[in-house]
Amino acid sequence: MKKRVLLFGADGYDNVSVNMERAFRAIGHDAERFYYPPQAENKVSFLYRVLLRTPFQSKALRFFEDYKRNLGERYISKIKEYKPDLIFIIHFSSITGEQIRYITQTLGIPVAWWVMGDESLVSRYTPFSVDTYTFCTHLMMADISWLSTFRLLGDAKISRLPFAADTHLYMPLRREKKFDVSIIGNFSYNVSAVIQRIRIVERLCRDDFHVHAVAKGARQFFDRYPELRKLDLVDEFYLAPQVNEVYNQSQVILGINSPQAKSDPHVRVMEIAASGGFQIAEFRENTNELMEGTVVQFESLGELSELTAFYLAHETERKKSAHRAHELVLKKHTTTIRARQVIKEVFGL
Amino acid sequence: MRILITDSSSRYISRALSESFKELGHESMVIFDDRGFYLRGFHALTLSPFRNGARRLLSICKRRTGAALEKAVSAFRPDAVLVIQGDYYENSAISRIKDRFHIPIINWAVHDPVISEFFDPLRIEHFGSYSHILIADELWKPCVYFFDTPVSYMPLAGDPMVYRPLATEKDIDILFVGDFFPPSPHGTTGIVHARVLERILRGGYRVQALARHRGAVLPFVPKLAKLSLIRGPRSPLALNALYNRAKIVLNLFSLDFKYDAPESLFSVALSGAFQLAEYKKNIPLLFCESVICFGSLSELETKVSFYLHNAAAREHAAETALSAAMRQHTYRIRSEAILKIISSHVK
Repeated sequence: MKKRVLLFGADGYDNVSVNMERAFRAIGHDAERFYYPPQAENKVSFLYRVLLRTPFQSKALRFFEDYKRNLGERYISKIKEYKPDLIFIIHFSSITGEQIRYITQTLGIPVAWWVMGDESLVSRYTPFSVDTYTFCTHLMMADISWLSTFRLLGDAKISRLPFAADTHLYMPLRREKKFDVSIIGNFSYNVSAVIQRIRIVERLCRDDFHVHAVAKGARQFFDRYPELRKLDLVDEFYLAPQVNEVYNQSQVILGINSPQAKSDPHVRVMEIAASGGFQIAEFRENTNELMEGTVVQFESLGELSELTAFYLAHETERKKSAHRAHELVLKKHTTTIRARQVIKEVFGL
Repeated sequence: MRILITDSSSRYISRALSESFKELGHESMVIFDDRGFYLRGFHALTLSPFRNGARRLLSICKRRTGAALEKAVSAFRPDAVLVIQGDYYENSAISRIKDRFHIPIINWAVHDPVISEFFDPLRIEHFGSYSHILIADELWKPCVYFFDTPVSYMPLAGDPMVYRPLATEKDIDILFVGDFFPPSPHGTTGIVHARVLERILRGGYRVQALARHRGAVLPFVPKLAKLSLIRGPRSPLALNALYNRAKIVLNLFSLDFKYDAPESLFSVALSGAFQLAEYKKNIPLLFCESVICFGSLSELETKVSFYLHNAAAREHAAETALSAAMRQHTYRIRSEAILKIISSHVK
């Protein structure tokens, strides 16, 4: 039966909300993504953060809740206008827990949230944002390691929904493999993940591999990590089609996870596999189960170096592994498959 | 062997470890790395809009903390240094001390290393200078493996000299010890714990709590008004006395623990009190299923109802957990394991 799905999702996180909108449509449902970027966020955040550091933290939390409630009103109006059968949320914070309770209990519309971040880490400035999940009807976890927190929040039905690739964006292309090793990632944010990427790439540079890096911001680390000067650096952000091009031009692609996703493979692992590229991915305990042993993983930098040398010298092995991972992603880990899983989980269809 | 331990003054672990090293016939000394109002103040300011200036000042403070550690090493001449978490040291100080004194410096991460980015976004790189990293949660390995430093899993433990059974009347039905708005970066933990308590209070149970900052969460979770707050100190001895008064200790953990649990899991077990602990994958393995866990709010309600009315079942579970903790989870046992690791690094 055809359903109307309204998606709330901010930009970022590889535009998963846009990809999921397309996926719901592809399987025959009506879907619309609605996102209204908060205009005054900087001023409000400034005031909120100042208050939060003072003895008036209780007032600060209420003040921010009121601000979110105002933002949430637009989304409530949209729901009343669109009349969806399901609200599907990804990477979003412009609504309060009480408003979600209103949607589920008063309007009677299920709210499913695809959780893609570790709340103990992402709610850096909004420590109570985790409360927004309390009144959802369904929580779908991209990483099993976050489960124990969400189980304690309310009575939402919790299920597993691993990251997935959008095959409209990531696909095999017939391209000459001009890069030995490539990595694509943002190096401009000052977060732990950047140090993780730097240490991995630094080791490969030190071991004299030719690494092509699409790494906006990496240059700022040249003084502290001189080996990075050896990178074949593109100091830019690439959009998905350009990323897919690089994957298709690389012999070995580094499948680097986020330190937030501690047990399951990151979306990048799925996207590399969907592009038909060969990857060496960071070890995660559930990768073998989800990718059925098709992805080569490393657990230490020494192992990464050895595996890179081996696979650069063994084209047949690379092709075999990439082909198997690609087949598996098409069968089990596309955004279209996830959209079907969401509909099945919520409506039993 | 001579072991210098450095830790935050708010934690108890260094003192317990130091005593254990001494009991095992070694010399040990503890220094604290968070002394001084300014250091804490600048740390807090790194979350404010004045963060750039605060980080510069913090960096100066950290250099001084590193210099203080170097001075202590120079005076005490240890065979190894054990740093607990080490939020206040820069990697340059650790490298300098290692090179100058030719001793291993081991870090025991007792919180998720990634969480340190709350204060200092690139702080995680300071883990890169240690000779060995111990992780209190098995699932933190993805956050430190890339430093090319040996990483070992070392769960936390308890101190049986402080936490032990007392012949006390059980006059508290359900006890919760925590904080509803803990200091950053653990603020998120408080609201989750408030939601758990809300469910218990909704069931009409009497819950007493040694907990701060209820006012911050009350507008979100009004049911917490029914909580009976206990006033009093939070010293290990005071906590042990409280645990011994409770029929059920509701043990909820900081959100950065994924498969393992903080010190309170082991302390409550050693106190001989019965605990209902938040489920974590490794707890059944660590305690051979003797610690009763709950994985959801409905499971918690069922277990509270059952155990509150079954003293025999409570006592049996508490005794089994106590004996497992005495056998495997004291700081003395951890000290032995740490000594083995130190020996593998000492030339």
